Amino acid sequence: MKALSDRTAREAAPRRIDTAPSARPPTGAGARSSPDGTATDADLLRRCRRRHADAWNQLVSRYERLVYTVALRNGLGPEDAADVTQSTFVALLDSLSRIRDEEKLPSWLMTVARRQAWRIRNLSRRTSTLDNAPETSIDPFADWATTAALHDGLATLGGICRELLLALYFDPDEPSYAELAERFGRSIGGIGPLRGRCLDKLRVILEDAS
Amino acid sequence: MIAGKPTFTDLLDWVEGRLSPERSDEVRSYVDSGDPTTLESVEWIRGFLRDAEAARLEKPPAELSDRLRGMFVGLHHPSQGDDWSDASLVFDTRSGLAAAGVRSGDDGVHLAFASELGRFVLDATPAGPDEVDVTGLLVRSGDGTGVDLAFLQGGTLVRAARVSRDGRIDVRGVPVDVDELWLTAGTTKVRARLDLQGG
Repeated sequence: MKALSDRTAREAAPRRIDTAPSARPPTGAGARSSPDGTATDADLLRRCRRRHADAWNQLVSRYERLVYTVALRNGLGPEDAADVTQSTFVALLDSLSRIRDEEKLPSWLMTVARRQAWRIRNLSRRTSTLDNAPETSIDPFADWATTAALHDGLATLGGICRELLLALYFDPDEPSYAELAERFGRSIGGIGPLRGRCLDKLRVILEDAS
Repeated sequence: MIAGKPTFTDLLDWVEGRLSPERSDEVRSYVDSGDPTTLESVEWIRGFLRDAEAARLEKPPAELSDRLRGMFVGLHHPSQGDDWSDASLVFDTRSGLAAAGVRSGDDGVHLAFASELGRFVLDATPAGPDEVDVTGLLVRSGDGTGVDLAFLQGGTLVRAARVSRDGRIDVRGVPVDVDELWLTAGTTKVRARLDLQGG
């Protein structure tokens, strides 16, 4: 899928911004979504280019934890991690019309966040005395490529499967099956088999990608 | 006793310890039988659980989440009320005025502003047809809250960026006909009229 060129996107973009949560459902070519009706990242990026604020909010909901975690894992404190998170989303907003590989938005965000975190760490080193220099033994994600591929795979998986696997395996709160059943409108007994099917699909996606 | 080949979900349940003792024994027996595809699945599941455990996601503070959501509307369509102030242009190399310590206008447009957020300078150098690279420095007069930048053309957002922690501004490939710059830091909002043409 080809993103609009920068200038074309600018000229095509309406001046009005749409802030209604579901004021304008995607239509035509932009209407593609996961089988369960959840918007894909590509859908949301397209709608953001058309200035739909609800699409932006969905992207933020989807990826704010990932970006914030990348910043923390790269050795930053909460305040700096928040700054990196905001910088990364500003970069996303700035790049809306230039992102080509829309299926790999998670790894794009992770890369931007990691670069921003490096900048802040390097700046801190330059301005620190030896006595208060931060620890240099940073422990980012153990295997960066694996983590990025995993999140890209989850984005490709999309829909309720992505949300369920994130909740089950990446949420430090470790929600119970009962909580997840309520959140996803399923029976408790259906959560286990569903997560098995979802994980099996993710496996296929990751194996295809590699 | 082996009661048929376990499904992927059976194997996941087994690895996660969610099966009854009897069913768990059945699955273990099948796995121990050495079926290659079953062993591959078990290996993959264990690897996934390891990777996921090492990559747990932290929840950002609610205040940050609110800022991220507000950013889109804020940069595209902010309120134009009394909470905005205008930056004053204090130097423009094209004006012909010489000032100590200010670069000449031989390779672009160099502007200096004074504003509620602090003094800032912008250097716009040609970067291609109808585009310039904008670099600069903001010297904050207040706290260190991050500053977001928005370059507009006829009231429409065309580029967005964030000032670095040490005040540096670096935005590549800005359309040369942008005519306004917004700087926002929390509730402080500053507008600057821009003319980057004709360096």
